[in-house]
Amino acid sequence: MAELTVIGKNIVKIDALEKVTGKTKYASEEGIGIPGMLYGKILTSPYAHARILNIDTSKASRSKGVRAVLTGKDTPRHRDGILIDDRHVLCHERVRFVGDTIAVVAADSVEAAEEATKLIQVEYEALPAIFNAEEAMQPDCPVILHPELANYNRPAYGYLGNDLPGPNVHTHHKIRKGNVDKGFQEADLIIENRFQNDRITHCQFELYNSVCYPESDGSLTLWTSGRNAITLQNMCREFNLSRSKLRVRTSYTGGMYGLKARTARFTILLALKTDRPVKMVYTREDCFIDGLNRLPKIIYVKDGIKRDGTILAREIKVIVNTGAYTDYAPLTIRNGGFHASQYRLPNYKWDAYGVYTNEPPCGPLRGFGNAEALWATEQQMDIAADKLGIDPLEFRLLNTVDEGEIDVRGQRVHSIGAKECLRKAAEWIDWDKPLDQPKDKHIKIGKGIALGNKYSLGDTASSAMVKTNLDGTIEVFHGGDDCGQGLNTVVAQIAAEEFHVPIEKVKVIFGDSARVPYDYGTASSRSTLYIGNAVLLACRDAKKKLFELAAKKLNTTPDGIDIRDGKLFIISDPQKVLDISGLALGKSPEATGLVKWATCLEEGAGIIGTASFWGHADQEDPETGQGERLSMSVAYGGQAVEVAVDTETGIVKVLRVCSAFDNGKSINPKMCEAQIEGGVALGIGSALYEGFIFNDKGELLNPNFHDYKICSMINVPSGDNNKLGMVEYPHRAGPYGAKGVGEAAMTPTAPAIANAIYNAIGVRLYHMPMTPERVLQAVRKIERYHPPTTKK
Amino acid sequence: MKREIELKVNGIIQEVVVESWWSLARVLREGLGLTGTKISCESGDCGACTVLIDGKAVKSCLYPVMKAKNKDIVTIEGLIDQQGQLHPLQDAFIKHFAVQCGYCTPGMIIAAKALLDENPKPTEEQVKEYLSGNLCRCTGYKKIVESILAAAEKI
Repeated sequence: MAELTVIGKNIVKIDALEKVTGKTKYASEEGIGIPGMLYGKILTSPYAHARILNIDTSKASRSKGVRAVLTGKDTPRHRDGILIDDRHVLCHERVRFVGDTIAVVAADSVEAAEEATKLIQVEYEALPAIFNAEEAMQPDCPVILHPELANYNRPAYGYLGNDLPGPNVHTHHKIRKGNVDKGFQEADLIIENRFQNDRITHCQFELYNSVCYPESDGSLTLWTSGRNAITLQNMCREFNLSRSKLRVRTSYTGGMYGLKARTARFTILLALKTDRPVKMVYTREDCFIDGLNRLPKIIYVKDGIKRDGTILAREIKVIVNTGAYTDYAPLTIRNGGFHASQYRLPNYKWDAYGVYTNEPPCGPLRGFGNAEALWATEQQMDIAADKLGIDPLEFRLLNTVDEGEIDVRGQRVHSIGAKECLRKAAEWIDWDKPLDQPKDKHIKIGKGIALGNKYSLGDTASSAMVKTNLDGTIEVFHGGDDCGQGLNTVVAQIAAEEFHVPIEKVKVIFGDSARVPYDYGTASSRSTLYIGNAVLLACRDAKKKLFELAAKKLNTTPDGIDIRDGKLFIISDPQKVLDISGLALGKSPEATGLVKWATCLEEGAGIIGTASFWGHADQEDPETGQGERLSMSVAYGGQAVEVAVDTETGIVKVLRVCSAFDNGKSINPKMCEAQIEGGVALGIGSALYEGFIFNDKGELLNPNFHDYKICSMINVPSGDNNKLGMVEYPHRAGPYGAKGVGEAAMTPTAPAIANAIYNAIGVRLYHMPMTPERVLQAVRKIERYHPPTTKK
Repeated sequence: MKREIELKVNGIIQEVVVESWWSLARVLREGLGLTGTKISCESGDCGACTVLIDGKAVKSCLYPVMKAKNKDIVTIEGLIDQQGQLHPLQDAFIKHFAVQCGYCTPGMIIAAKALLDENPKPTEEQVKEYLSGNLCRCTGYKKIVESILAAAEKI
């Protein structure tokens, strides 16, 4: 293969210039200053669980500037969803969490819309609510959120609805391998623990927003801050529209790490009703409550281990509080089962349950189930190592799977640099070097390590188009999104490499369902591999067509031709050159008369390459969770951290973090680094600061950046204290060997910090976030019940 | 109440109709079309709306527009010099890959400019301390800190 000149290079991001100058138009800029624009607002439930007895919108409708007030009766009777059709566009007879959407208003101004929502009179009959998932999952739970659950349609992964132990349980995912009971019998050591993580949310900086324009032909154009124009078209189902009637447009998104699409359906609804363009921007509070947060989980782990450090059996029970509706939760629950693919676990049993409660619904957040599972299991690894007297790094290396082994799901492991990641992270943090403790006796320093991973979905597809222009420029059309991770730069690099042109000659077209071909979209760390492949193959398809045409003109065979800077040439005789414009139809001898001047035909001679790439996934056995090919690729990462714990205040500070990740091959090394750095910050935030706080009525008490703290600059190590690097174990299916790494980045961070805290003060924290209060509580408990006898 | 006021933004005096209770951020975006200034947290915690007012970094989502009269306002759109050259901070953010989604970027760069105007050669710790009120969810800050230190070298 020829030497790569663009791939693997730190090409400046193609969107960086417009972003540093403030020129980028996000969806949030769409519709500003357009005459006739209406503005939408939502009215949400103040009750966690209640029956709606009556809604009186007459006052609101008469309010100044109000154009529409819509409630459940204005929405379709059928429920919709991603995996379980369990939600109406607006509540019908019942509300199920504080924040459930009851009505939407469109008015001439934001203020008029907001005023009108206050004039809607709703009569409720409060119902008992339930917030605790372990109580909610009981067979005799007196509160039932969805009495008709058994009749709900399950458009995908229907087997997750089998063997449900209680009326609020909507999902049960199983993995079975070997015989765990036998494994536990043969083990020298049994370790059982319960872990928990609180609900967190994405905090994308761009507030969720959308604008819906009714078009003159009766169709709609929707602009949204969400992602995946093509998959968002699925919303048609909710409104009984045909796909061609809804054009979805996205732009560069102001952060993603999950989803942010719910404003879209409300603007569609209002635009259909008013026949006017409608813009809706969620408040920050709306974004917290209706943001499809990361799933709060309770995770029981039981391990059976031999004295020599071999893990014989692991049994996991996961209880997931998915809130009032499911959205992506059943898939998140199922896919969390992939986290275990990094270790050799001959006997394995996993039961993960999704439970309805009267909290807000949940969805995907960077890691899609893996990070929470690893929070539990990567601490369990340290607990075991401690009891066995084995170094936690060695214990992990001993049990990490190798290339070619079969993982717990039945998949053959491929492209795994996990061990090297662990070793590198350990080396960089000086793992074996004892720490100097500070003079201040209250401050204790410790080190911790963890291994993480993130799969990419197996059963999805991408397609792409590549248009070659007669001036040598290339246009790439893809159906993914650039949320800042740099997908557009990646695909531009691929096209530039394939056509041997400077990156400036590549234009990327994305975020428009009317222009891009089918794509499952940007999700699951899949874009580089799937979309990258589709673009690569589309480039080659276009080149094949070009070379066939050029071969005739150059009197050679297509395989003897290559292209550089818009010039086709004979590989064996590079002096023989044909400019790409020479392929114009007008220059063809068959073109006679006026046709020669017809620019439309000349432009029509531009060659379009198309291609699709799909994952060829295998069916999962619903009873055992086994399948030969369930995920596409897995990125692995080792992280080692050094923390300082103040035993007087409970405050934990991350002093150093070292990360090594296996991404197959870096298309753009700096952008890969940037993904890891961002993941580290989100990981630190989730580990130490972030968590929803509800009162006993189910009201969220901290829906803002003041009371819900994300990391600021001073919370994240920088410079040499934040060291990272990639190890590249190429993936056979990846473009140039690359696989996605965006989500894996944060999966080891939280458990590595927990392990470092234990190393520092001998106290284990089982509940994330590890706030000062929780650290202090744990310290006091240890002091009271287990006063230290020897210093660790 | 609607009023017509004069604002001096990026060196140009412009007339704009505002509601007297509007924030400066809203007027910049909706009245003057200067949408590089972003609104994100709505509570003054994130800094995406940072602009310079008489040389000081200010969170414009909390700043009443009526207070901005007769003041010198600089937004991200005003950072390019008259020859069309990027400010060294903008250049450094590009070269050091400090931009991901870009939504915090304008506010971050403006706040960093205020820092460098006050303290042309800050230490790493001073950068982090000064900018701790400008949040970013994508980058983890490492490359932002690098960019600011690199730009300080150039100025």
